[in-house]
Amino acid sequence: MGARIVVTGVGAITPLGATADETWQSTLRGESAARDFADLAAEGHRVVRACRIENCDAPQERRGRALAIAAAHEAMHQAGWTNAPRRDAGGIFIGSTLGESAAFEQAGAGKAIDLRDYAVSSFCDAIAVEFAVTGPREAIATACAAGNYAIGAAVLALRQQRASWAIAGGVEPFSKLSMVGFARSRAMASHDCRPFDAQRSGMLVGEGAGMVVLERLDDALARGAHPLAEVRGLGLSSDAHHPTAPRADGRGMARAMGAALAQAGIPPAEVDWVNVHGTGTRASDAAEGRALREVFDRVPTPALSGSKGALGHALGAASAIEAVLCVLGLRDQVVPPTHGHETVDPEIGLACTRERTVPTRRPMRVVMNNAFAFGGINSTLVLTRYEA
Amino acid sequence: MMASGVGRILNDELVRGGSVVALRASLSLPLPSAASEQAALEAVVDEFAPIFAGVPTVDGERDGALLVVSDDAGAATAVNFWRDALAAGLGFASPAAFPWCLANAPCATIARRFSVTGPNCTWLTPFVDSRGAFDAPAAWLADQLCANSYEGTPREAWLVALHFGAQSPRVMVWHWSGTGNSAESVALGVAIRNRVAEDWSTTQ
Repeated sequence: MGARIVVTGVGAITPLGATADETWQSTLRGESAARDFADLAAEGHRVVRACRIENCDAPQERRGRALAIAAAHEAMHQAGWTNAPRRDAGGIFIGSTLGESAAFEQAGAGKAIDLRDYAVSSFCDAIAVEFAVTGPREAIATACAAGNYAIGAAVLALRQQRASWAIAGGVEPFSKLSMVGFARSRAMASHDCRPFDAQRSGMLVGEGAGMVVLERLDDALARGAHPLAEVRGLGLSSDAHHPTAPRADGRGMARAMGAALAQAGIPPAEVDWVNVHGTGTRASDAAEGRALREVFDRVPTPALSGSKGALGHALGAASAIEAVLCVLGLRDQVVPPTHGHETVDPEIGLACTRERTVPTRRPMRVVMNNAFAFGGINSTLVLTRYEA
Repeated sequence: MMASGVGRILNDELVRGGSVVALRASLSLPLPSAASEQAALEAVVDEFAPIFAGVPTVDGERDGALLVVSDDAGAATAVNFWRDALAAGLGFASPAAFPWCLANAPCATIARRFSVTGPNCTWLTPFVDSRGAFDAPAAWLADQLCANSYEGTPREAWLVALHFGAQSPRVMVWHWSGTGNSAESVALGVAIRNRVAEDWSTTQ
């Protein structure tokens, strides 16, 4: 067990809000950003329903870095920093799926473009330039689990003293390439995204950015910062099974959850809330349900909620945005509703929250944030309420 | 030992305090010219077998971490996927090509081929400064090998470096194992970083 690592600031920009708190309040109200887009229909997309940020005026090929910088500014502000401290010791850890997807689309359309300026690492570089920090940078490309990975990477760097503070998270600008790819993979919803619901038919593509500021607890307290939550563990595993489909038995997912809890030193009985990956696809939700039943087979199932019915699937940003929501849930002691979840699927046998849920049995202390991805990647991040 | 490329069975040990990590084997191969990143990697992936053979599978699974670093994985496929989708119509884009637009597809392919079910991770970073490029993977690798392995059971990890681009496309694979504790993982990470960066720089 290394140094305790705490979250001292969060930021998010999503289709439901320009800040973390706006997103959180909209989520608590049960809102969804899903709607049909005329431009997608005009361009010939078979699926035209999505969750998009509609007031971002950045150039398309710079949209991701604009979202990342906005979320990072909010997180830094909440951490109490207008200017970055110890710039040589600040680390930037960013996960994403495709980088600036619009740039790759422009290149595919024939535009001469140096794609090295638009890869995932360009998000790290943009944030580093924005805050003039020169510490370690990690660009992590673990698809739809990248946000969890980035936070874990930052925790490791802080524990190894390679950085003294960090901005970590995920970003994904809206991707027409992903709209087409997931549609052709038959992963898209026929209408809305309905996590863990009996009538679920698939996912909706979203976009956004979620960022956290992380510090060693001693450093945070020494400067008078207020820890919002503690990062306790990141469990990882690989299915080694199929290019896109998860193992149907959920074994790899359960292994990631178990590894995260073992690393955190927290037994399943103490988990209060699981933010499920819950893409709304038949296969992934069924596998996650089996994994959850295995992990919690001897203890009461914790509260389960999912955000992708409200926000869409923001791919590489999704788990970072959801980690931000987990922090805010621990702060406010409330689990948000799961938009789109109405009828329990008998095959899964697990109910998600249908409305905002305030725990009554005990104060909510432990939340698990699940994120899985193409290629059989499984990740679970464990966060706890900050306790001295 | 290898059909092509440069393969070495090694037992080069790095020792720090009570921790020991050993470079068990490494392999360097050129990637062939191919129609896609998928085709290029799949043309050589079976040649990695000796690098994984030192760790037997148990119940069909090989326990260990698989870490990949690349400067360009997924980029060419993404461009070609979109080019072809525009040409054929968006409703006729290749579903098989889409997963290879994601930079983690090579890691997933190698994990699947060799049944590696431990943690996997992919970094996208320029190789301009090879030490810098390997900083993060080496730090993770050292942590994976050392953390919580007090019981003395060696932990296994494979590191893969990939460059698909037009100039000198190639792949290197290293197999590391180790025992120890987190206290030494920083120093060991630096030593691992130096070793793999030197290998990558000198085997072009």
